[in-house]
Amino acid sequence: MQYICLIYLDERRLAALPDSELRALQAQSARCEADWRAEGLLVAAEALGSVELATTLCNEWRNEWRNDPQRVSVRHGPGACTPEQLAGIVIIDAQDLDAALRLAAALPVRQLGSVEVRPLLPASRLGVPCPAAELSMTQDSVAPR
Amino acid sequence: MRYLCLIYGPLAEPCVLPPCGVRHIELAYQVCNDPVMHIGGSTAEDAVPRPAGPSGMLLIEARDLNDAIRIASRVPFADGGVVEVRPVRALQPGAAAGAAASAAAGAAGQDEENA
Repeated sequence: MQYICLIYLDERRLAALPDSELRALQAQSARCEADWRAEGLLVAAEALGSVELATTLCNEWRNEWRNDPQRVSVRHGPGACTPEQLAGIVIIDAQDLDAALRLAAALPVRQLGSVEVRPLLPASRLGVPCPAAELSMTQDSVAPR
Repeated sequence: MRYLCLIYGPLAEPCVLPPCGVRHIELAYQVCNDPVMHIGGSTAEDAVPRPAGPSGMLLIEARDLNDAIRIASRVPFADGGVVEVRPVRALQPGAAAGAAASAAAGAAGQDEENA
């Protein structure tokens, strides 16, 4: 059974972390990743760029676009502004819930923030052709390349 | 460049990705709505308001942000939902870098990228 660990932390707190502590945390995390990979427990571990780099797509950004699935608007910034931001995801393959929770609790980054564990459902319908026409897109703004 | 597309809010029914986007996708998951556990940091549980977690996620490979936006705009999210596109950071290319480590480097500053 696969579970996702959503890692939330305050980016400002992270930015204020002394260099030595940051390096120690990086080393711990790298060790943790290598161990879990070797044991076949790790499916994916991805770190996200800052929320300042986030782009959000929305299909009800303008009232007149409501209920029009062909229109998607684009804006800079995250989908929600909260004190803690999603900073990374770790997908684990655990025998059962207890094992998953043990792993999540052992994530080194937990010192800095919090970890939420959720079961995953594979997107099994992925790959089935979509009958809908291609979406058109109106961009409020697009980041420079 | 890799991007994580986080789907918030309801997914369209049926939730099917168009074939034009499939080849860009490395991982795709639907996420259960209810967290089974929240392991808090220093603060008491639920003391910090948190966004409702994503209902789905895709890891995609795209040329650049505009390409990522094009792919993400085809995600079948329902009315009221949003898709957040975030670049994924590799801290040490070629080396095993934990999510935490990379996240830490990511938020610590852009200058690390060029190191």
